[in-house]
Amino acid sequence: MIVKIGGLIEQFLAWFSTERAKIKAQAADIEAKLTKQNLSPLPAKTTAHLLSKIDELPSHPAHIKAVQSKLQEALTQWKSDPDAPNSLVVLTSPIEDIEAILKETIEAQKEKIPEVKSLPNEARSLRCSAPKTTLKGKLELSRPSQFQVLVVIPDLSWCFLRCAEGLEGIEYLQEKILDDRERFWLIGCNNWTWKYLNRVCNLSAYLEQTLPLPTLRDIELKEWLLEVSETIDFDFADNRDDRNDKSEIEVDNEENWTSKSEQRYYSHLANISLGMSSVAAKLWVKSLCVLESDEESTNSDTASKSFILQKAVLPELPTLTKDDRYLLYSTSLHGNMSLSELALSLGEPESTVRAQVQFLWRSGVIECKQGTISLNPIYYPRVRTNLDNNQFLVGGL
Amino acid sequence: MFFSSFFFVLLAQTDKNNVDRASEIISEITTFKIIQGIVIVAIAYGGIWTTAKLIDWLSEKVPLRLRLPIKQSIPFLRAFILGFAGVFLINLFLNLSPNNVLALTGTVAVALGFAFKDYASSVIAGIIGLFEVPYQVGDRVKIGEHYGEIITYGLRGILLRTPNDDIVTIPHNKLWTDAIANTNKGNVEAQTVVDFYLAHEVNVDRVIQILYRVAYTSKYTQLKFPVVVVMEEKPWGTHFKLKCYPIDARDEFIYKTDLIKRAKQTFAKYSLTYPALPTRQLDS
Repeated sequence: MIVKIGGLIEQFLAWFSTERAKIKAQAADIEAKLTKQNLSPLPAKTTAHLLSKIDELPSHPAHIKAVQSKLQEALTQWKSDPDAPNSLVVLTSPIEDIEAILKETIEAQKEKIPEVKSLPNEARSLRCSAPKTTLKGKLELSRPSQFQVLVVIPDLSWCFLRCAEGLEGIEYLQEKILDDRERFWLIGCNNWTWKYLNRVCNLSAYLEQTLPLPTLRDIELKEWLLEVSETIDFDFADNRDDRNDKSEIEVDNEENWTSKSEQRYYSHLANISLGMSSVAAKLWVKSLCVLESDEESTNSDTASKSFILQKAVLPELPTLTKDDRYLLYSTSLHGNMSLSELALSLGEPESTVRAQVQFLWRSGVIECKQGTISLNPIYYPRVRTNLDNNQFLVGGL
Repeated sequence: MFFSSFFFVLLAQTDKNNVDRASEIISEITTFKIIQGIVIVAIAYGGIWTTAKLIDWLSEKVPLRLRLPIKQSIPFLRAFILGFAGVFLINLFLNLSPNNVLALTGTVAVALGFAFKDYASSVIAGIIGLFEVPYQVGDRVKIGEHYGEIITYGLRGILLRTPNDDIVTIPHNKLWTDAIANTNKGNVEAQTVVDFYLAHEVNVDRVIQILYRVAYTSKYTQLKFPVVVVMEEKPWGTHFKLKCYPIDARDEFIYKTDLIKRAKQTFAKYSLTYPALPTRQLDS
């Protein structure tokens, strides 16, 4: 018995030392790889070029298709049944460009759709001062329509501002939608605005038909980003491990994957971006980096740089104060807004809000483009979780 | 007079009986034991201080909904550390046989009964308060004429921070005698009531709509909770009460200010008048 136990101990020790040696060797290998690969961030020029390419991308076909089919169905019902709902609200996250999605949908279906009246982009600047007059004037709502008209409000957040008198536009819309059956209303709205207005104005009682836009799968994201990804020659960071994994590649080729690493990368990207195209696109650019080997860096004159697509990672939020959270909630609620509108919605002087905006802009959480402030899509998943944890009324994905 | 003399005689007798046993109860005191005792007290003090600081820091880092449950663990941890230190010290300096315990409790009971009655009452109320939970750290309470947020739950009493930023110490034994009004009872939200007084002539529908809008559009408002406006008639005007909740109860006073500021701005826009004070003709 003693001999047996002694033998077992010896066996265990032998196994332990072999395994330890293996782990040490693997660790040394990984360390060697890491030290060999000098990864540096993408040059600013390349980043700007890629981001502009992404801005030029059309809305995702899955979104357009979903809106088209639902709109056709709703329009047919409205035309045939006088009691059918005369509105459709397309719901999306605060960072997706709902205006572009609706515009492209209408463009693609122009022949099938009756007369279209769309609220122009400049209407957003009047959302607090005179929302009712703006809506009346821009959409010609005071004129009784003789034919069936499709009225498009690209973004419902253009019609209100969170201040004591900022909800007049929404009240007016509710009234018009109920009274005027000759008009069909196609409204884009972000989930946060929808939840807020539902709580404050009971909006769903007036706009009963909604369409939440679908989240995107890994393969859909890959195909959508293909137009941009083809412009740059890159390799996946974990491509080497892939070469021993042939069998799995063959199985997954049904979905048009070129390698296991590619599938792994986009699957992870879809997961952390919560299936949102704008988050995924920015994360894709962020995960690109330049690979410079030791030899190349020593002969930098002759070195040709190659690009590596690393595993996408969501950036960490800076430490947020309570006031930062109020600001981020307001920004998400309205999608994008000017500094004066933001100050009005927070009930604070502009100078105070400007200082806060500066801090958040420097840390990258918000973006300021042409005088409008909006949330940086890459931070959206973390901002949403943070605000949800801190008892804010946040919308769905 | 007679009763007090009787008590002093009783105390003297009790003390006389116990003096003989004192040498038995108190174990031999050495320099090493004194050093050990000092170390235990220092560790307990350091432990309480560190725990309080750590939990305060942690409660500000976690999501808002977890802030108060974390903060409320401080009194329990403090009691735990103090209990441990007490047991160690008693073990170190006293010989606790059953007879000694009886003698000691007699002496302690008499000493507490006369010298530290109120202190003992507060400590006992504090221990009971840990389990009955009439108030906890982070609650907004009104005890007597003091209103504020409980910032510390101590052995003998609580520390209350008032709206003027004064710190008021209130002993736990108020539990026995006083009514305690608790606004949030362990939740991060506490209802805020703001009073508005307007003239009889105002359009009340308009006022009510404005008050709802003001509450729903304030950045501080917790939209998951209801907003209610109630009104009451007074001889000199109409009293409107706006009842709503801030996201964080600590914002109560700044929230009130925000509501009043924006409501007054809107009232001015619609020329809604305030009640006129009754005037009295002075004799010339």
